[in-house]
Amino acid sequence: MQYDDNATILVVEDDDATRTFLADNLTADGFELLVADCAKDGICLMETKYPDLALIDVGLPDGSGLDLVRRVRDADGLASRVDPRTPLLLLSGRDSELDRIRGFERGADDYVCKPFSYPELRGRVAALLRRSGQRPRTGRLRVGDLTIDPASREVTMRETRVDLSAKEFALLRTLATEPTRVFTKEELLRGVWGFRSMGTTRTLDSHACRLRKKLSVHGDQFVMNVWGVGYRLVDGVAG
Amino acid sequence: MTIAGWVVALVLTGLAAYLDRRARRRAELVARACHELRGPLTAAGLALYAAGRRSEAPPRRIAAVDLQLRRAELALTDLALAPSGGRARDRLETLKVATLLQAEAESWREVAWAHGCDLVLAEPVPDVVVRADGRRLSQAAGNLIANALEHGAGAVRLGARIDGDRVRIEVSDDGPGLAAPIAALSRPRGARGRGLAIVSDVARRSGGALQSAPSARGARLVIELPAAS
Repeated sequence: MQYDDNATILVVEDDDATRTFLADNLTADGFELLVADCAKDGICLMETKYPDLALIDVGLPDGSGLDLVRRVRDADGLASRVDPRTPLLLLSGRDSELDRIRGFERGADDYVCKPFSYPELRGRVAALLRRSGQRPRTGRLRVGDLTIDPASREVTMRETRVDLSAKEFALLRTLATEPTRVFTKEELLRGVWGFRSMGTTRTLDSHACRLRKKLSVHGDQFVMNVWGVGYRLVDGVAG
Repeated sequence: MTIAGWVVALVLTGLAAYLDRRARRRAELVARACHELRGPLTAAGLALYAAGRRSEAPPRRIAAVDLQLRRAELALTDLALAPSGGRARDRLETLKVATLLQAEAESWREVAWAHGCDLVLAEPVPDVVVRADGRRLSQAAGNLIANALEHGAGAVRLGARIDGDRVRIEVSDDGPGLAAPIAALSRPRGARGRGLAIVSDVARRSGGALQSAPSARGARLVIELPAAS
């Protein structure tokens, strides 16, 4: 079976043989593979390569796979480079009910006990990818001449790099997930800054103002202020 | 009297605590051993699957090794659940007996050769099916073949036939025959006798029985199971 969309799968597994043969089989099934043998390298690949799904062994040499799952789920997905919605499947040598519950509580989407049947694992991977197909992709985003690459955190305007602060980048990335939609100030303060209650909007307004200026070097207007409501991103090429 | 009572209570409490510690220690050792077994079994299963898709071995050989791996996984689950008195849950399926015996013969052929025996698979009766856990049935058939290779001689014959509404899986050899009635041999005796006890248990749990059948020479053991439609 070949998978058309060439989904990228990250395998975080410290056992050399299991990692190698698992990667062999997944590659033969048409997936793009990223591999790591420890939690540190695993999180690093999640931050820089944005896999579509991760298979994580629970017992890793530098920490538990459960902690890795929690770290991914705790990421805000904006200022942090990790996408917290990445489907995560735990592989474990421990198969008690308590172990499985612990895995799900930390945020795993599925839990497979070793030794497992490869066809069954492949089926579970396909099911997770199918379910996650609706979520916004974390790849390169384009709005007109503006390109946002979450993996490298690089923003370019007509192939010229635009330097943004972490919060400016997070704000832009949020707006770019649904171009033309108006994001309310409350949504943006909660999503980008993590504010639980609506406080002063001065922080948001000043960041939005700086972002607008940085993106309007050629006279373009990408960040639009919708008075009294919030902000939206448009393809605002200068006329 | 009161002092004696206190002393007895103290001793019993200490003994209970000691036994509890020992049981916990044993359970932990079993859990560790199981954990260590899972890795190699996982890797072996993945390697076998990769070898199969690259046609690095004949499909029959791949199927035979896969069956043995699944049998090992079953034993691992049994081992993990043993401290709590449990065992792996049976996964009932409708099995073609001919397919199972072919895989067993393929698995054991090299072992037979090492023992100086011929393993002969009789022409299988087509379309004979039983309702059982294939891994358990593999355990049972494997134990009978291993016994025949160890204690028998000459040719070890493996076959199946249908007898009314029963299926008879037979393993026979040219050795000296059984040393005692099958019921006695199926009871573990120290380090020995476990194989036949396992076969008997699998047969019983699948609605059948382990029997010995008359034979001109050597042993002839039969797993009798209800035929499935």
